[in-house]
Amino acid sequence: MKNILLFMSILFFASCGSDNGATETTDLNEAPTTPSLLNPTNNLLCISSELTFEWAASTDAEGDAINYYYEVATDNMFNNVVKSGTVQGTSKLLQLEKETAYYWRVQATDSKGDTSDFSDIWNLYTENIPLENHLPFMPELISPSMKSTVTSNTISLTWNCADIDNDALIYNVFLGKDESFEEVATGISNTFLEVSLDNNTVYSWKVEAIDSKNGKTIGQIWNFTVNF
Amino acid sequence: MESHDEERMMYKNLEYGKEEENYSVKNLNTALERQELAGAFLFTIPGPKMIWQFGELGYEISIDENGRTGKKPVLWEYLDNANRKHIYDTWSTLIALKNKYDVFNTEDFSLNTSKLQKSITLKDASMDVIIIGNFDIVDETMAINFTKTGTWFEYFSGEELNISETQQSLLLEPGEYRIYTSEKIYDPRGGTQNDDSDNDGVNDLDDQCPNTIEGATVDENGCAIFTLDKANFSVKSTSETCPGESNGTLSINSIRNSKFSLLLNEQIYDFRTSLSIENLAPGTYEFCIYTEEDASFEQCYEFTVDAATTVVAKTTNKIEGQSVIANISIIRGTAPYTIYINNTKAKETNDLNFNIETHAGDAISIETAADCEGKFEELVTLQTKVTAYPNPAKDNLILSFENNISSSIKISIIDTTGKTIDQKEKQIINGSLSIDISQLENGFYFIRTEGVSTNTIKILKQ
Repeated sequence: MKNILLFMSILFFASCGSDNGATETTDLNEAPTTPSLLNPTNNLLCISSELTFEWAASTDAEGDAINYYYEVATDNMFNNVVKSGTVQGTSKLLQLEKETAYYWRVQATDSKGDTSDFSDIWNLYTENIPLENHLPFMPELISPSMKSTVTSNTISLTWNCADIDNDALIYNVFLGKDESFEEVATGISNTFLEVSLDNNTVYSWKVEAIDSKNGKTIGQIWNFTVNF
Repeated sequence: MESHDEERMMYKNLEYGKEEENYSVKNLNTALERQELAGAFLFTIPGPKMIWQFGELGYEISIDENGRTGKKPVLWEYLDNANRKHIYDTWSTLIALKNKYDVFNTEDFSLNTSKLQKSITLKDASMDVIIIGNFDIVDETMAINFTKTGTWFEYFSGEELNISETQQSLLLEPGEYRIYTSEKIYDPRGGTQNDDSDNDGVNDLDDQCPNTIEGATVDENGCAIFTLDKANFSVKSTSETCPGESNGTLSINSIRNSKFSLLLNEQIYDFRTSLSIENLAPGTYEFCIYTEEDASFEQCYEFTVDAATTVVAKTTNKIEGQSVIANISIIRGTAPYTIYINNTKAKETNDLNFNIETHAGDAISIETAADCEGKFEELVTLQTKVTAYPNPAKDNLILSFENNISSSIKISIIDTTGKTIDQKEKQIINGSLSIDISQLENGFYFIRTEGVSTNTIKILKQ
């Protein structure tokens, strides 16, 4: 990548007509040194997707002003460059996508247009997009209504429950006397459960709603009295 | 209440009200509540009072509507709003108290109304009354000098305060007001066994909360029960975004503004309408929400913060004879990729898409060049099609599997009620196996296969 411009000037000297001599001098502009990358360090994984890329300043033999050309690509052949540009300083803030592997490199150019080699290629991997889950809403009592009296030895416990994510919900149902609960159904997808009951008893029951992402909402305690 | 040529208080509340993180006078219901507070201090000062029509329903129209002296809209529909109606109920209670009890006409009274925490003390031979209110927008403790020791009765909540020292300090929420009387009094709008002045289903003599807001569910003492709509809380969790970062989150929004507290990991978080907890490590968490309004209320949840994994691949399987060709596409992750089959290294590649030979039941895992990108794991399942013949069948049913596979497989016979009648481990030889169904009663059955081919087929036994 080094472009060397060669200026030649030939001076002729004549002295006493005896010697003819020629001296060659070369006046070449050296390209800036290749930049070395600083941050984000190579192979950095899972970093914020808003990143400041930094590299060490190149030097130029002639002291020319230096511009830097940066490239960020999603492949290490730089066929798919997603960000590129020229800056005067030695850093650039870029907003990248999450969950993506990137490769980046920098090249220095002096004011005479001579460019250095590209720097080493460094890569990084940006952080994941977080998975979100809404827990189910609180289960809602349908029947038997709170503190009501049930006049038969079987009843259908009925409730309802919703989930913002529209996850399929399953339910654990607990039924008990004197608030000591027994799990009477596990992992059912119906929103009702037939149970048989003892006479002259106060029952309490509750429902746990579980979504497909391990979110669980434990329902309020509901109760009713059996008298048949 | 307001001067005749000034804006109505409600208008000012909504337009210029002070705001705090969890309390805003500009909020309509908060603004309406503060009208009750103002009323508690207007009506109880001895002497005649004047209010503007609809002020008792929180009239909020600007004095400049239709010009300063122009016609203002008549808004009887305010009566349908329970929060507005509650101002009417509170003010009419205060007016009735004033008309019924001599103490509200006493000449022996003192006002302490120069600060945001205000109080009025009324003294009379019949009883003493102390009115206190917090006009600030934050909780405040008030130092109250009761006129005597003994039992005081807070009119609105039914609270009985037994004091042995007259100097007491009481904590009031923003906008809160109380009226303490030294004698128990009943609803001045009725006040007999036959009255239910606040229309909550509990008669005035039994009603400890005589000014229940319309529509509230009450307990046997006539006090509103703390209830929340089923959709009151929306609770969201998010997973870790990078392995080892422990940056899962939990966020909660509540429709109801209440003094909630939340217990998670033995730590208490206070909030009113929203809360966000960050930096949660992967794992399963339990937490419960409580409220100061009702000590018996508890709402509990469980959620999982999933650990981040950063390598992701997709596989599709194709059957070739006895083996399965898995086609793997790397979606993200740093090359080179190392592929393990049943924990044995099978391949290393820089390609993003490649084939690898596996067998049904093999576990494929993929690692990238970077340890912290995690591991992708998948179990190879293959869907070999199966057909049954003859169907209907009499004695023997033949199951025919694609691709001439030979493998063992679990076969279940299930009746139409879902009951499993028979379950056996059988051998598929060159793509076929036979089941004896001669003992089955005639009718429909399901044959379920589990293993190299998981399928359910409906058959008819004749």
